[in-house]
Amino acid sequence: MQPLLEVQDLEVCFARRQVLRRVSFSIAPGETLGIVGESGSGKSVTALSIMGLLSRPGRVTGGRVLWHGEDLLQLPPDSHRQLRGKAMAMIFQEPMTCLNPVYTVEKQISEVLMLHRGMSKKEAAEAAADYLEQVGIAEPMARLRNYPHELSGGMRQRVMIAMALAGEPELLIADEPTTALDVTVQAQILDLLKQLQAKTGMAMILITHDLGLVAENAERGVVMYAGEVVEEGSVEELFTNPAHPYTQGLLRSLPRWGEQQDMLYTIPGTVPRRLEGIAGCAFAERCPLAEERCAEPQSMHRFSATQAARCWRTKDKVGDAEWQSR
Amino acid sequence: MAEQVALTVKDLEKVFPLRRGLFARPQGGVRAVDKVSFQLKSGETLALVGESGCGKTTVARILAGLEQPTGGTVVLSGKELDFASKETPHILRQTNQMVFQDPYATLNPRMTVGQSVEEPLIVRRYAGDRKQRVRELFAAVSLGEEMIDRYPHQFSGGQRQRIGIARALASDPKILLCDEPTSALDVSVQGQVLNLLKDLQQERGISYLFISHNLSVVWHISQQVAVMYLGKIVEIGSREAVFLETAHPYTKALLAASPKVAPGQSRERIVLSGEVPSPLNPPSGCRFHTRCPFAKDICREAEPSLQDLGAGHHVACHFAGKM
Repeated sequence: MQPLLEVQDLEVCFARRQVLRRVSFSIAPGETLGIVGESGSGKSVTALSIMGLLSRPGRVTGGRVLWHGEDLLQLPPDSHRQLRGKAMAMIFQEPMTCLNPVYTVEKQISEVLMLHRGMSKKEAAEAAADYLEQVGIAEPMARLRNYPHELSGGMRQRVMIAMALAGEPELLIADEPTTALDVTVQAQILDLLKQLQAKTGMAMILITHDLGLVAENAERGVVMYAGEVVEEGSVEELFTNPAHPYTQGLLRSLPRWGEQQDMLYTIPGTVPRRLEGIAGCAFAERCPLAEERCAEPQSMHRFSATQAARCWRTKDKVGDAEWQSR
Repeated sequence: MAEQVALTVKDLEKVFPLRRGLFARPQGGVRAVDKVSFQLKSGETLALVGESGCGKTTVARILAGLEQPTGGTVVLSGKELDFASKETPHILRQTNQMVFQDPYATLNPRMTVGQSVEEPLIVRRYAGDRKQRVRELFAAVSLGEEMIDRYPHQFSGGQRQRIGIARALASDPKILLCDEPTSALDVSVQGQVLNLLKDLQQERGISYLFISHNLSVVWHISQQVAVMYLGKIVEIGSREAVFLETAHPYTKALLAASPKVAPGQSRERIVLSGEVPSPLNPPSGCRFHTRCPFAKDICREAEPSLQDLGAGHHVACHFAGKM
């Protein structure tokens, strides 16, 4: 089956500084893919590149973003813009960054409906109320007349989701959608996204720094470190049998309730400030298992249908004959 | 020694008056903290958990001398504080120090971090060699001496949090009030800061009042846990009692909602509907009844008091132990 979206060797620079290198992954229709990584690992830049929302001085310097097999990066900006909102939509951590404070909720949702679905103003107003109801907002008719500042954080997040859904996208990119919310509201929003996904069959990319959210909500996960994908696999594989030392370190450094841990494991060192001059593994200087050959560039070593890691040791583990690099 | 009490808080209350208009009289108020009682033992950690607006930060701000309580008593190292006295905030600041979520916001960008750490020593008229003391403090939080003359922007988030801790330690506090100290940090750095806090506690016998919404972190760092909802403590006890023998439905929901890194594990999930009601107009009876999946008539009418389930485990629910 052709993937819905395939990112191949994506490279992004901010001015002369490289922030993404050789980022590759794909997502199938209806699937949920989690992208995890710490701040500065390039998760959001990846999402913005897919959406075509990268702004100066950021620019894509290499690679392809295939949408149904067609390279989005080759599209004229206007055609890419027409896909946004309709084919793919994005929701953000802070809803106020995407809601316009001087327009009512109704105006903002119906704009999407009129633009992408060709509805009349009256039809759009009715449909907007429907969408609010779908995202679990009580008294949708009254809420339509509200301005964003009159709503609570969780409600705004719901309005933003309603806006994203109004275009009936095939792919929803959720960038830290619940980081600013309380845990009980976070649980509601994620349940809502899952329900809507089951109903509409859209695919979802869930970007988060919270490993737990990926474990609970995604089918597959991609782990990013310093602008690179270091490991990908099914959620089961990533959390029970992580292959890359960075993934292993991250999981070991998490406190877990119910377990007795005296001191937490910590990954020594810090994330490298610049990628220039690092030809090989960016994690090598912090890696307890680093060897000489880690200074050489390496590809993702695949060792199951779904799991692959950018680490020589994974290659050794499966043997030369078996692994195929991508 | 271990059983010594560093701090006793009894029936603490804070009402923020509400005014409509600049010169209007106050019309009612928000009960941000409502009859909160707990004890913090020397060298131990008590965690306050709850969602935003539950009053946990207000409790810390009162104990840091930044806010005047409107009722209740605070006993600090055996002495009851008189909040009418002007001296009280000074006493509080001497023994209690705060560690904030965003250390960058608390550091002056035009001062070197060494100067920032030295400042409390100047204010307190420290008698010894201040520079020497600053070097000791930096060593205590595992920052090199060469860092002393740098500016805040030259540090990473985790390092800044260490500086924030060093500055809090400058006045030799008995109690650190940590308000979400690791929430802004990445997982790998969070571990370093939590380990540092544990080390410091073991070395110096400091007590922590640890505010966090991350339950895994709370489990890791604390001995006692208090769960707050709309200004009230709904459950309090040892961390084992609260996490493993959970009695209050709100605590259960919080535990169920916090994501766990064990894929494919099905678990009992209580998803609460709605959001935390406005503290301006808290619900009648049990404040949690509007979102509680088990609420009965009595919950709407009568406010449950904290009942003792044994071994210091208290819970405010009409149906505690009956669910």
